Amino acid sequence: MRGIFIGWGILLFACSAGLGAARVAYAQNLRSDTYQVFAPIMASGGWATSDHFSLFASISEFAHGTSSITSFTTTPGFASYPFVSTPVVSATAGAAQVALSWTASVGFLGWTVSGYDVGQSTSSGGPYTYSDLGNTTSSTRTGLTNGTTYYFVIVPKDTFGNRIATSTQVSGTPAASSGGSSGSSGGGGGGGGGGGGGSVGLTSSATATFSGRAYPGSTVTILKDAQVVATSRIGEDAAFSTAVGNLNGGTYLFSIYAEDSGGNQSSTITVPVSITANVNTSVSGIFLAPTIDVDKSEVKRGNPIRVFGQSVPSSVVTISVNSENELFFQTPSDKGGVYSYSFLTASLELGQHSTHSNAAKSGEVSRTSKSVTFAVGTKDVTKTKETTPVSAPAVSGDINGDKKINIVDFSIEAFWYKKKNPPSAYDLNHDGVVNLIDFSIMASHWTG
Amino acid sequence: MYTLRTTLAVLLFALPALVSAAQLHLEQSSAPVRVGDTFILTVMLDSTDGAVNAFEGSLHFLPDLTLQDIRFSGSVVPLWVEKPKQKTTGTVTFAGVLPGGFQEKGVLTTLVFVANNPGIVHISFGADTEVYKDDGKGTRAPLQTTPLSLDILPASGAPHRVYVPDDTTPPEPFVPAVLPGHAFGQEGPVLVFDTQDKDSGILYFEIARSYNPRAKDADLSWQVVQSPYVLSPAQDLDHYLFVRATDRAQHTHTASVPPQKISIALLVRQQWFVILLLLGVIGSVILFFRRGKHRHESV
Repeated sequence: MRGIFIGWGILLFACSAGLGAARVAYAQNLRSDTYQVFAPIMASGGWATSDHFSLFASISEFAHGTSSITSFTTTPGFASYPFVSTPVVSATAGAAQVALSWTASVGFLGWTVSGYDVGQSTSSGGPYTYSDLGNTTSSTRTGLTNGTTYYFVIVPKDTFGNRIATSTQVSGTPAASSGGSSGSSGGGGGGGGGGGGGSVGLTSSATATFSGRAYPGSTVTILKDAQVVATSRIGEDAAFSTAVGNLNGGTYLFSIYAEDSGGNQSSTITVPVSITANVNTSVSGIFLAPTIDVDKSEVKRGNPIRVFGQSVPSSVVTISVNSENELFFQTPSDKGGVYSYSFLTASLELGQHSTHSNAAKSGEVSRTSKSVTFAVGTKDVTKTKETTPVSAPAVSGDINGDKKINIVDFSIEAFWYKKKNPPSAYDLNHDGVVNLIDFSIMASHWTG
Repeated sequence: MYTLRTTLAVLLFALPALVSAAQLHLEQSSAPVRVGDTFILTVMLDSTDGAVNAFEGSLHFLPDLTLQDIRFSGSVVPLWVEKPKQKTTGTVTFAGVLPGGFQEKGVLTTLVFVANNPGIVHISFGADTEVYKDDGKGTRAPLQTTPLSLDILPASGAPHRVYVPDDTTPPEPFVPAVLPGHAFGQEGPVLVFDTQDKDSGILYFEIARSYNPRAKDADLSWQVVQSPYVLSPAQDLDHYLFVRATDRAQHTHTASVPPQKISIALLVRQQWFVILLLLGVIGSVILFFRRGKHRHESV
């Protein structure tokens, strides 16, 4: 039976520096010029002390939430769902080695990732032998046997060394000469891209293969250095595996997003990948965040509002609603990946609110979705695409009106950078000048 | 009914106050540095606390250092609004965009310096340095910049030269585009193009024209240009336009744009048109003689 914790815990702090004696403190006393309590996790006693400050007992769970000196907010009880996103891992095999790199695992609602372990095995699925890597996002595993396939997982850890997530397994097969690598399993497929023309004197043929989870019936787009290089239509299992070829050696910024059947776009996962000429790289564990929308642009206070979108089939979707006290709801997605959750708005203050979501399945957690806004007011206003023209040029940066925000819009915007009297349509925030703020707005809506 | 599941939970903490902020800092390639040595400083962005998508600013250093080179090896920046350059002596400015947001650690650019004089030198980010959140509003992100102080030692022996890897890759493929000129304050159409080089950086772009879509670089007459390039209605629009990017290691990549209008001069130079024309003439002649023969037989 799931317990509900209420009230604020009575906390005992032993301040070894200065005070020299324990004293009782209450939650409202958690503010400090020096300290913050930001990850209230049930843990054993050995982790409760520090050189300056210790919290050694609580009669109840007191709060989840983020708290800092400048912004002190908490969410009481277990009604919130702290999580960390699972890393996206790249594996590039070389001679007797496999180079691994991964995206930083992001903690939410109090969890902070402070380091990583790598698990290594010659059997798919383990058991793995773990090594502590410290707080880094790359590691080259050396001393490997050429021709043997090695399997790896990356494991984020919290401040105390607890393993709090596990990435998708990636693999690599070292080879004596460059050119060999492995790919992770996955269905679907896609094509690479590239510009016309040719290069003189130099050739290379490295390929990067991207695999992960999107939504049934969605379209996954992969951008290389901000330009579209591949799109894939996703099947019922939501899995994708897309190869991008004809890569030179170097560091590329790959971005991946999905568009669901309703035309809503996910948030973008951006992965810097270091490519070695003529060597293939696999990038695995891409768990695209759910799409999200609401059925009302304004809801009469007390009436229900529905939050919906698409994610991986049969996943657990956590919906967060920003208000004075952040609200959290969980709902499953169906076989088609669709989720929908209605809640009453009586507890929300009048005014603008926003909501976002994330999904979890099989121990993996996506990053957060885009945010959508709605107002709590005095009437219900149904939200339609027409009432929320997110692609309006003045909002998004679609300067040439082709419903894409890409290098063409960037070129136009760059021409007017810091010039006097730019056309008003290019000055996205209407401050009288085209500057980095306008580019930031454009970059946030980028489609490639 | 309230259930108290756990009565004692020993909790944490005493971590230093952490502020969620993007960080810009410098990483030095080698130490110590002596007068006459060359060394590398890598400009790093760490935005793991929250996604950002644009950055701009400046780096300042004293004349005790000479900036020898600016490299792009390992850079995660796909689009530069203002490529890093030494605007005035001792000041490097830069502005770039990370479309889709960036919540990682990554290299922005790499600077190669030569140490001129012994003593402590400071390299610091200017007050104009900003990073912007990926929130669709262009909000400035909290930013922590970390200056670097270097103790330059007196010269001793042969100066140390840093190893800068050879540029082994050509400029990245790109697709030039012809756009209406009004977006650039021009009446006629313009040609826009840009690309990057993963190692040494792009040195210049050139344009050439031909009626032959398969013209070889060596057969073309190249002209150094900048984007946006205003096209000449009389000279450019009925030609295949070739844009060649050259990096500082003289590697090139050439991209082409098809003609924007059809002209007789263009048509007569197309093999397919000449063949079609010949077939048409031959067909007409055959038809003419067949009709003539048929008419003769009827009479």
